[in-house]
Amino acid sequence: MPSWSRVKEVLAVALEQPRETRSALLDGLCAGEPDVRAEVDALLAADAAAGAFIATPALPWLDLVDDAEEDPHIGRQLGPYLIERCLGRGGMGAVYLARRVDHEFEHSVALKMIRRGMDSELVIRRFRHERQILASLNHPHIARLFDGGTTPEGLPYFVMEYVDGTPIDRYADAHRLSTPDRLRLCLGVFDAVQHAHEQHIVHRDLKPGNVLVTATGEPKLLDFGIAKILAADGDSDSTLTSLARPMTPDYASPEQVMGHPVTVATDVYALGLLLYELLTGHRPFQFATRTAGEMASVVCDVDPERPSAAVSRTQTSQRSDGTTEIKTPLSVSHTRGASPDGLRRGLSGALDAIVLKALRKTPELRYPSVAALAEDVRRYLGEQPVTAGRDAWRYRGTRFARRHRTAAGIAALLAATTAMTFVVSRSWGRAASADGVEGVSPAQVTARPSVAVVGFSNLSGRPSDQWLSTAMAEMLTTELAGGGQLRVVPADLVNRAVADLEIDGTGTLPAQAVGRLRTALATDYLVVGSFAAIGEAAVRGLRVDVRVVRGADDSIAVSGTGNESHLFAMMADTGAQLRSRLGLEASSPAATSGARAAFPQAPEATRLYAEGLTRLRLLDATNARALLEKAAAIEPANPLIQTALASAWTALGYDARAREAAQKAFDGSSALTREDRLKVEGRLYETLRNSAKAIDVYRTLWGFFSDNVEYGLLLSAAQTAGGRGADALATVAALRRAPDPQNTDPRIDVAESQAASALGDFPRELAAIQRALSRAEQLGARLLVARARLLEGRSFYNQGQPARAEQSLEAARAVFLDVGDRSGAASALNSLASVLADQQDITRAQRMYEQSLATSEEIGDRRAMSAALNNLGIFLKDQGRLREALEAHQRSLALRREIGERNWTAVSLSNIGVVLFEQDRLREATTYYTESLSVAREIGDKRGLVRALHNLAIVQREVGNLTDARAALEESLAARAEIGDKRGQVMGRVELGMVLLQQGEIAAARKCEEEAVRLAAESKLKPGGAQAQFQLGEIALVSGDLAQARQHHEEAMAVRREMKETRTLRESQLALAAVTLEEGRAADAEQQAQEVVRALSQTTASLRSVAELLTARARLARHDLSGAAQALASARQSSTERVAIRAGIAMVQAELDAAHGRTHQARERLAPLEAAHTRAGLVLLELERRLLLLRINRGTGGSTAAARDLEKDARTRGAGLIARRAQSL
Amino acid sequence: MSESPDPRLTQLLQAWQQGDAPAGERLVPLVYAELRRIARMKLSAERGAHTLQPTALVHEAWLRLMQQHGAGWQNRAQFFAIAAQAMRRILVDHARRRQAAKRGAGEQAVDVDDLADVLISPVPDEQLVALDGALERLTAIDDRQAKVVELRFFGGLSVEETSEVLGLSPTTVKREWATARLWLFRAINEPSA
Repeated sequence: MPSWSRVKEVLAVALEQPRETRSALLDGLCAGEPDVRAEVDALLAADAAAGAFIATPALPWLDLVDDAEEDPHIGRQLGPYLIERCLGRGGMGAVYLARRVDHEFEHSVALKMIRRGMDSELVIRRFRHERQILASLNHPHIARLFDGGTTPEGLPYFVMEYVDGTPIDRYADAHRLSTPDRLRLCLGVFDAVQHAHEQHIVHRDLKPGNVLVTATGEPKLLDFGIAKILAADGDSDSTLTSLARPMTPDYASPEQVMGHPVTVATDVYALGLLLYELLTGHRPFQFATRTAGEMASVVCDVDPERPSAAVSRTQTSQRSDGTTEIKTPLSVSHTRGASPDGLRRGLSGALDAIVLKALRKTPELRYPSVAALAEDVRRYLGEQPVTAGRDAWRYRGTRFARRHRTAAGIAALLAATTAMTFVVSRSWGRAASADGVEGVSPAQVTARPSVAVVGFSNLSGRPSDQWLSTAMAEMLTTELAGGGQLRVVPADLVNRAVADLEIDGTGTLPAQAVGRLRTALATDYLVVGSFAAIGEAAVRGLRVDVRVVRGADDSIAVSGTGNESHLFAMMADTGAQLRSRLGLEASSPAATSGARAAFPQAPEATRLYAEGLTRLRLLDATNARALLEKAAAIEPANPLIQTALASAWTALGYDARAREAAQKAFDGSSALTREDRLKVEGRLYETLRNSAKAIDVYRTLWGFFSDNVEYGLLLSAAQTAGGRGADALATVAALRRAPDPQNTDPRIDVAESQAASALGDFPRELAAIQRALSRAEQLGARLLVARARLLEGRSFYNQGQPARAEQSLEAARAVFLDVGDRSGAASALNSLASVLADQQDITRAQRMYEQSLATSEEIGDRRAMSAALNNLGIFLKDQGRLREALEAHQRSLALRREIGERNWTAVSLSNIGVVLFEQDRLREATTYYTESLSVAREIGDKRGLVRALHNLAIVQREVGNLTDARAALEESLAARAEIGDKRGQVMGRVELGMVLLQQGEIAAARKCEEEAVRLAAESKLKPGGAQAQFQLGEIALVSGDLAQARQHHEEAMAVRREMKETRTLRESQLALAAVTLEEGRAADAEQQAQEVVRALSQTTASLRSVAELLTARARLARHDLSGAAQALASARQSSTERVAIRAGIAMVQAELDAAHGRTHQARERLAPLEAAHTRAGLVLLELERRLLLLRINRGTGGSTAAARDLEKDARTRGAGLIARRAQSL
Repeated sequence: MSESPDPRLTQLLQAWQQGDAPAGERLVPLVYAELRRIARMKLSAERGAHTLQPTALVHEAWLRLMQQHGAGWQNRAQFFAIAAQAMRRILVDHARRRQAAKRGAGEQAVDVDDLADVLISPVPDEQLVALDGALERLTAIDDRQAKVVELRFFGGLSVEETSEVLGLSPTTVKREWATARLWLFRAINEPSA
């Protein structure tokens, strides 16, 4: 062992050398003394490795000695201040105690010296700028800033009021302040901060170290405004990476971390952190490393645990001075003068809400001001309800006298049956969002513990007693929901899960089943029970045993007795026992009796209600309805019965009756809790199809109970139905921020899918529904799987993947049948049929439709029947079987009138109009369209409106009412734009282009069609694109560019062939024939036209006429006069309502006359047309007429002037073909 | 407010300064008591916990002594030497007690009268105990150096003051401290070394 004095000697010298040269020096010094050298090396190495490895922790306190030594400031005088000693050191620099030497009395100040490394110039400049404001900050709880300056070496310093106090957290702990006392202490702090805010000063660096409490118990805030002065160059807000770092990383707000502007909300956040620490003893965020990246991500993305939960943590942490600290529930509650349980309970509810609201990531969602925060705290202390938003009602329930409560059973029905409307129609119409997405829910959610009441097994064995199980489950659910401390899973979902997972709910639940159910329902507690009858008395006694399952081996059991007539009392008692065992506050007698009042009073009514409810859950709506109607007969005003009845009616498709029942439920809901009342109200608006109001109600509901995913789902469904798809997506996004595991509920994905579909975002629709599917399959939620498959099928269809669509729909059908949902099976059939019809798989399609119809008839589901008939009608029309189509639609309409479903009535009316139109019964079609339009306007059905306008416009155009047609189209296009109906815009523009063409506005027409082509490509609407191309072909023809015309028509035809569209294919063929004729190849043209005639069936009369007219013209060109006459005769067979055909017939006739030499007659035929054309604005037809007239007159010395005129007019309009012909005359 | 100082303190200080070695020994408990008294005064005079730094307390004690007894500068060095020693004992003893209590079951009772509880100790208990042990070992190897450590660390004396108390040049004091630091560091981290 080398001598220490020698080692010391060498060491001392070595330390005075810079590191780089040390080794060499040591070589020299220790030559011949290897042991000394070794020792010296070892000691130096140990020091160098300090902190680098766990084995050699740094000993920071060892260096305090040196630091203190180096402090040159102590004892010096800066201005009038003499620095006495160092009070502490921080990131910004050191703080000294100083004394004013020019006063007689002692006046201590705190002098904050800013350390080297900060831009002094800038700091001083900023200080001068702020000094006025800061100096004027005069508040008893704010340490005054007196002065500032620079030392001779250029270091800035501030002179502040010296506060001899303790950091607030240590003060509170040392005095073992209780929660209310801590809050009162904070109120002083809040007042101070609020005062500063009113002077437009934000602290930016609030933390316990900056909040001292004096010996007299007064809080004092330090360093107000300093952070801003010290902020880095460039911007007034610094980030973690700035040199200045006035912001303490541990207390940084998300916006500070991101470098966003700092506002009042930043201080609110900091105060939230302060509260959190003071109330729980813990910090909300832990950082594993202290890298900027990790801190940023934790602060911005990790949601803090709610304070009441945080106190249950056991945590070891490092203090800033290197000491470790262990916090346990006992230790933190000890310093708060409470027991761990008591502390937790005290914090849960309002205080949780207050703190979390202050800690929201988005500044705009926090308290708008510190005063607001203070107010809520005051309210809490004064025991009034707190407004921290969503917990208001829950809190009120606990603090004040208990309000009446009713079964969460309502929730069950409502939640499950909302998005149940799988209405099928040919036009799986898309409503889309308006502008302006509304953010709905809070960014963070307080999760209450959740409970699901599984059921009561019937140990008495008598099936007639089975209703007791349902009744008891409902009542117990109510009981547990009381006070809002638990989130109760809707009974509907519970029952559905039990059914889907094929769990026998009537026996003891095996552990595996328990686990699966808890996962499927995402619930903390499961309640299972059993009951048995005691004795044989007329009113039998009952014994009930209930178990609350918390985990694999963790359950609580309670039991109770009672009798049938006092069922509720028994459940109330059982519930109370459970509550106390779960550590919840008890229900007050007033609340319990209120809840009892919401249930049916008469035992018979209760029994019928329970049985009806059971039937409903088993998807047997018919029997459910019967039972519930009986129950309603006994107690008509009972809201629970009416709500259930409304669901039954909806399931059966009787919307009008459903509305009635929903209205009655609402009328009788005054005794319910606000929560349940809102649910009933929302449901009512849904049945009334008043989406706007439904959205309002659900938004309110979800705002209050944002940990309840059901409400979010209701909201998004209402938004989608109301055409606000973007808002629905925002709601979905918010739902995904729900606490685990609720945020993985597949129904959220379904909601996303529906919203995306409404917006026409089909890829997203598909992705979302597939996610839902896989999750639902994981959970074994079979009914949901079936529904999701159905939606998947539709999605595939929208994406143009019919084969896959077929697959999914078949699968959906199978699962529906498996689960016993025949209604769902019928829907699947309906959709399947449509897909097949599209694929031209006629036989199968028809079979499917008929099957669907039959199934629906079996169930008695009128709505489904009408939907099947509607689709069948469309299918038949497409086949050209117009009479059958009409029949089907008429039946559908009748059913829809019966069930009072107005918007579907509008659809049926419209569809009938379409068939009539096909039959060339234009005036009748107009009647139906008009009625459809007025219904649509009446109920505010935008889609219906658009459809009706569009169809009306077509008729108007056909009969020559161009002005009306144009107006209708323009209105419909505007409406389409409003609802974001891109695809519809294509068709609308196509038709508008046609009108414009007729009106002679050729350039405008072309533009319109080109726009349509573009939109069609964008929205992948091939048939629409083809239509537009077709029209462009017609325009090209009129313009005289035959080659172009041919090209367009051939393009259109190719698409039509691909899409197997027979009718429009023929139209294209005819159009090409017309081009051929204009090219001078009359014989070919004739042939092509006749081909079309032959191919067409009897019923497409108008097209036939067009074909025959073309034939006639072709034959005329070849001087086949008799042939032409023949063709003309055939053409006359169709309706003369269509102005184009009428004009065509007249003109061909005139040409024929002229060819026979009957010029005068020819002229006479043409004469009346002029007036008609001019009146109707049929410019193009008029030009054609004039041309024909000129040709007729040519033989008899017609005027060349007229020809010139015509040529000029035609050319002006862009009607090149006519101009050319006129020129050659 | 006036306090009645212990007259024995001043006496013993003077005696010690005049070379009466045993007087120094008897001073320790008295200084300890004095420190306690001052701390308790601070605690009770004002409501609320007041956290004290050990070195600050030592300084405070000296200031009072100066004011109340007219203790001269000559006594200062001795006082601080004693006070440093006392402070070391206070802190280390308390750390040991706390450690023992931790090893035992249950919460430890916090004795509010205990001086050390209100002192902000920057050193974690185990390390303090280890420091004490290391310092003991250092005393065996190099008594003077150990004293430098005791004065600077527990007494909070500056280089100047330490050199004064021990009669060394400031450079020597610096060296002693710098090298001691390395030795202690290793001694605390590798107790077996």
